[in-house]
Amino acid sequence: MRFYSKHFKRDFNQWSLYTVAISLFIAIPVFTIIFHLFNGKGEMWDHIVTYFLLDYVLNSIILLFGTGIICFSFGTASAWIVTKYDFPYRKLIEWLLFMPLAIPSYIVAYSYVGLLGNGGTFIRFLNMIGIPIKKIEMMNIYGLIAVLSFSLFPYVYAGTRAMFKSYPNSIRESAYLLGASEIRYFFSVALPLASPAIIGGLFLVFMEVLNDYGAAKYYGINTFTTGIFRTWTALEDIQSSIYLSALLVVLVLFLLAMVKWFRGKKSYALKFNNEDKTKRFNLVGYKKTYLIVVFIPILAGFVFPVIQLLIWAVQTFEVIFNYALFSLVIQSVFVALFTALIIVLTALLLIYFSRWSILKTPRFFPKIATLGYVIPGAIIGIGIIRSSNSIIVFFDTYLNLKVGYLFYGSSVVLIYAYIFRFLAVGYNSIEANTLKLGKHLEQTSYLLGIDKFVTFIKIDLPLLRNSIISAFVLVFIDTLKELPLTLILKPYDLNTLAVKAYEYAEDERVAEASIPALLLILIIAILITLINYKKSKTN
Amino acid sequence: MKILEINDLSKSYDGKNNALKDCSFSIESGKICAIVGESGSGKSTLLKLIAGLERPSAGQIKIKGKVVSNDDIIVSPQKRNVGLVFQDFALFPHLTVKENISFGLKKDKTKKVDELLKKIKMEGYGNRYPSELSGGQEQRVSIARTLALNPELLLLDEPFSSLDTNLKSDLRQEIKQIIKDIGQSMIFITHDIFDALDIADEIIFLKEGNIIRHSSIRNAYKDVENEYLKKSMKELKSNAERILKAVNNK
Repeated sequence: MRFYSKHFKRDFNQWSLYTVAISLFIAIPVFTIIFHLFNGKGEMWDHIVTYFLLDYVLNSIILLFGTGIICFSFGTASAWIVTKYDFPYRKLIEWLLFMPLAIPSYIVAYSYVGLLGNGGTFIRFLNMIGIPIKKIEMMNIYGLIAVLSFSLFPYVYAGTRAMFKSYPNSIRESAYLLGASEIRYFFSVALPLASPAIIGGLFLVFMEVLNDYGAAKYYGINTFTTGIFRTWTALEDIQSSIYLSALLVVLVLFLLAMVKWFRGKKSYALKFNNEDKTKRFNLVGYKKTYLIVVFIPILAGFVFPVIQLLIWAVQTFEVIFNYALFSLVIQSVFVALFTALIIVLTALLLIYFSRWSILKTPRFFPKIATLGYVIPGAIIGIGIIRSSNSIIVFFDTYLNLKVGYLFYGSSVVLIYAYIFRFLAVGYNSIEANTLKLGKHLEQTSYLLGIDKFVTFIKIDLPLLRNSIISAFVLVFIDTLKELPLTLILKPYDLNTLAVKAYEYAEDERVAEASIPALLLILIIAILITLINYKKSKTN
Repeated sequence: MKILEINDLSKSYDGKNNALKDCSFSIESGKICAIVGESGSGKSTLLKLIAGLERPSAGQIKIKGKVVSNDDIIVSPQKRNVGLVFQDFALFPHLTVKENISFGLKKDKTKKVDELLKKIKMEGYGNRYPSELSGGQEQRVSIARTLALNPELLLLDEPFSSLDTNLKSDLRQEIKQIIKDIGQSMIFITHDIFDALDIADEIIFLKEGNIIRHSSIRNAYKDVENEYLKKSMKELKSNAERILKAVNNK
């Protein structure tokens, strides 16, 4: 990339400036973390290195490895079965396989303790049928791997299923005509072709695992994210938590580099179907047992946790179901709606300003602004607290203005944090569709004498409507589920369903967490269903 | 009067390789000029530079005597009064034929649209959407939309490449008729020499970003020395002989 253009004066326009300015403003937390790395180590750093760091590194790697294997196995196997075979209620099952995404992983973690812990629902059932067992220990790293895997495998399932569906039938027919068995076709053709989607899905799983705070904290497992929180809150050493954050960013960048490298090697020029024209075979004979592979993740990731939550909800309904709960729903939905709106608008501004920039260098800057999705919430939270403090001190020292309440007494900082964290979700989904639209429509409009803004309103906006709605809903869901950032940055008088569920669980009142959790699940499930319905209708 | 003057025009996308090198030529008002060349010869780049959709690395472009592009000045596409019809027609898919044609108009929309629909012989198609039209119809609507603004210069990017042989021949004549009727200056790019010979007044051959010949159609192959032109002439001759032989055999 050239950072200098000999026609800089001629080609520079206001859009270049806006693109750079907005991108840098959004990415302030990243620069803050980098800047503070040079302030030297914190007081507790040596103590952390001696007693905790190895634990954080090993546990995080074991979690990534374990969830990676389980998500890959169930994600690809279930995607293969629903695209290759036909069986009763297939469409319902395809939809149910998405549903674990509706339940935040920390809520699945709570529900499993209720199911399998001392006197848990499932344990009582086992006792009833004569199996004398006291509990199944879940609160260890293996339990956490299981919980995270069954919550997150749909990230692999979704992309892989879409990929399997897009294969032209001729590929399979050619493989069979060349004498390949079903198993050989799967391992040597179908799976390698789907590898970019599988890797993309696994990367999202890894990011969620590294970002998880609620489940790991509840199960007492030391990970990077819980470590960052503990160093900051219990040890009161923010400088050391910045050091830990930097190490976590290195791990994330390593994973990102792996994905880029692997994907770079695996790009295929194949004419894929845009719609589902896959020929499916009926599941007969011993092949009916394949359904076990499909049912395990549905039961473990959705049905069992929801059953446990419903049992708790019945027990706690009278105490929890009141005006305060209603107010909680309103606050959560309002914050998520507002965030989704701002993010979609910001994404559109960045996409179009960089498109309208004649200079090429500014077009690189939105990539920095969208880094938030690969940076765990805890790190963003610390970066924002640090930069807010610097701004507050600056106003106080040089302008004698007390602006602290603006930052910590309102939701401004929290919404800003959400924007940085989830901008990539909105940006990538809209940008992909602007690329599909191409440039000829807007260029034609310019040549017909219409300016950029009117062209955007009359041409681009109507044609991007569906992708804008999808981006809006995806950001809304992510914001509604978000926990670590909200815990760090929410103002005193604001609460969300996610935080409330976490607070109940932290207070050893896990049954009370069920109603906020169920409401959260209900809202998200409806939205996921709407997105899937819209997608199938568009196809 | 010259409608277009181009002097020492160059374009490089990566700062190293030139898509277009030191091109200079001019076109008289009311003429149809064909730019012929293989893929990657710089034809589309040249058209985009004239329309203002790309910025030149060096050189100058004048439209009707006015500088629209050089090292210091860039006139935006909206202000050049140049029309461009893309190879994929770029009709707005969510607008009807009428709405597409009137998109750039500010007044007398209905009258102008009706006139143009009549001119392109599509009177009954005003309320249809682009997805309900054939390739040839889309092409005509796209040209009508561009002509609605009375551009000084009309540019067509490979106008006949996506059409089948029969339709291509008819449409070439139709377009020539429409353009000549209104005395419109036009440049179109093509890789098919037959398109050029059929409707153009003059022809420019482009090869690897360089203009290797600019002449009237009558003199297109007169005294050629360039290897590329010799090859092109040979192919044309052999195609003509093959067609004549086939016709005689029937």
